[in-house]
Amino acid sequence: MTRLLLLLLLLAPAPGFAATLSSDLSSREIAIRSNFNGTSLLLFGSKNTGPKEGPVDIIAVVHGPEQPMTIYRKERVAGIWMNSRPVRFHNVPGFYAVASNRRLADIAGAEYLRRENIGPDNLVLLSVEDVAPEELQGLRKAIVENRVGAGLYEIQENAVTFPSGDLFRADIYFPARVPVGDYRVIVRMFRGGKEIGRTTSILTVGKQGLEQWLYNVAHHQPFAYGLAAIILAVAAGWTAAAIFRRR
Amino acid sequence: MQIYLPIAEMSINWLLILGLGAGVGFMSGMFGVGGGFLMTPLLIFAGIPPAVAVGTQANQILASSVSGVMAHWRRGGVDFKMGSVLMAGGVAGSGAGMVLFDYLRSIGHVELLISLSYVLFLGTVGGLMLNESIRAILRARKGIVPPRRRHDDLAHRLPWKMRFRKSRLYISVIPPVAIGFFTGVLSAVMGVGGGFVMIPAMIYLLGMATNVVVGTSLFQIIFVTATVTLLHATTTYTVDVILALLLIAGGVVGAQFGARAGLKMKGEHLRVMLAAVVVAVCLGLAWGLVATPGELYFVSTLTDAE
Repeated sequence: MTRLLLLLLLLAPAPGFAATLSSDLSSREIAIRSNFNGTSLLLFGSKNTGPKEGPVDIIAVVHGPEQPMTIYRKERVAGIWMNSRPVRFHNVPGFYAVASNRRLADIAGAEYLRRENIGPDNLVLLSVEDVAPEELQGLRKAIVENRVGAGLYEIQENAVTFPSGDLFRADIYFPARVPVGDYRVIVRMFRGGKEIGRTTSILTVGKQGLEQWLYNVAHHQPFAYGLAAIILAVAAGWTAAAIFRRR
Repeated sequence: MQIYLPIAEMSINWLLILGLGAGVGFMSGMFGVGGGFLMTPLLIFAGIPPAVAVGTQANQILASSVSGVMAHWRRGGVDFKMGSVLMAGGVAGSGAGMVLFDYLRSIGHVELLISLSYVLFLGTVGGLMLNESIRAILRARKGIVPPRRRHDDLAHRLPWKMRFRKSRLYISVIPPVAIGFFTGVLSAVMGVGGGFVMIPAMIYLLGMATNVVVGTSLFQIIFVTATVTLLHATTTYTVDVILALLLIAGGVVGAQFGARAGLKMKGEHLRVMLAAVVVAVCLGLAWGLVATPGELYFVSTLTDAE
């Protein structure tokens, strides 16, 4: 909190300046440890506008690391629901959050939002498979709905608030299932539907301590990990039998 | 109360997992089966990805089998010779099952395969057991003593005969190897120890002496589940040791209480109850296959398949 107050003091508007945007997060790093159950970060900043220049809007986008993803449409075959042909997408963001002070459509034009990939529906998800355009559209929509359902995609059109003067703030929630990797945080400022400034920062989400170590061992030394799992299970079973025998 | 599972990449209430382990452990201690056939669907229902449920489950059954086999070993209830023959088939079968599992995963049908195997085997075994045990109860009520089985079936006519003293058998090694192989395939695909298939097969197909059936089945399950754990760890990376440890902790305690509860009950009553549970799980899964799903798409983020 002291860090936040210091920053806010530094960001205090200097008279006679043109509108400049500055922003930061309450932390540039999210550590996933054994008790991790999701976390909230505060995005804050200053819009440094003079009083006469009219109101501005803020849109913040948090874009998680891109992952390959496979989607299947379920089909009924002989009375049983089964997965049809898989379609792979290569650049599905593992996390995607948009926060703004009012409806995106009221802040900027649809064409601009599409070009800048703002909003889950404007994400460009690419597939190498040969899929008919209308089917592709349905698959993209299904992926976005799935991610929204998992709490990994979020759009909050009233999350950005202006507590006082030039300051703005928004809480961004990261659920327990956030993928690890680098997140891009872009804050854009608008006046009269025109972008008049933006800041970009990077947020890192990583497993830490035991979680990090276990994951690495499981993926880089799988044979040793498997043997260790076996030894652990045998030891646990043996110990349990020994304890209950003495009773 | 939440704990983060590093391989499943999700956080879950650890009390829920301990409770699940204890509940299934209680039933497995009572009935003398591994309980994997109950645990895997329950884990999937709790939100664990199916592949992780299967991979981790094998590791948990390994622990409960070691715990169980010690008790049987002390009272001479393990036929090591028969166990080794079953194991030889089982280890080969789990290798073959793994290849099948990996292939189906690459084409996206692994969930269907797991569900279908469950419906098929739980339905068959549950139905047969229910039928047999209800008859046994009815016979006991009427006071009829069932005739002793005559040993003139396939197992006695095939070549490569071997003497199994503890099982009181002199039979060909082909049927036990085949049963072991088949259970091994199931173990890799379904993440179960295979006790619910192995035990009826030992009693009804091989005609083994019943006092060594459970111990011998547990003995060979140790080796099959160890193989499956290693294979899953190295090919699908789906063994979550944190999840396994929680399940083991709950399971071993539950199993001890279950074993005590089981001793107070009649054999055929236990079998009716087990059969009812098996049939109920089977019907639940079958409904899941034919009911119209809430979501028409299945989205997978598993990227290490290729």
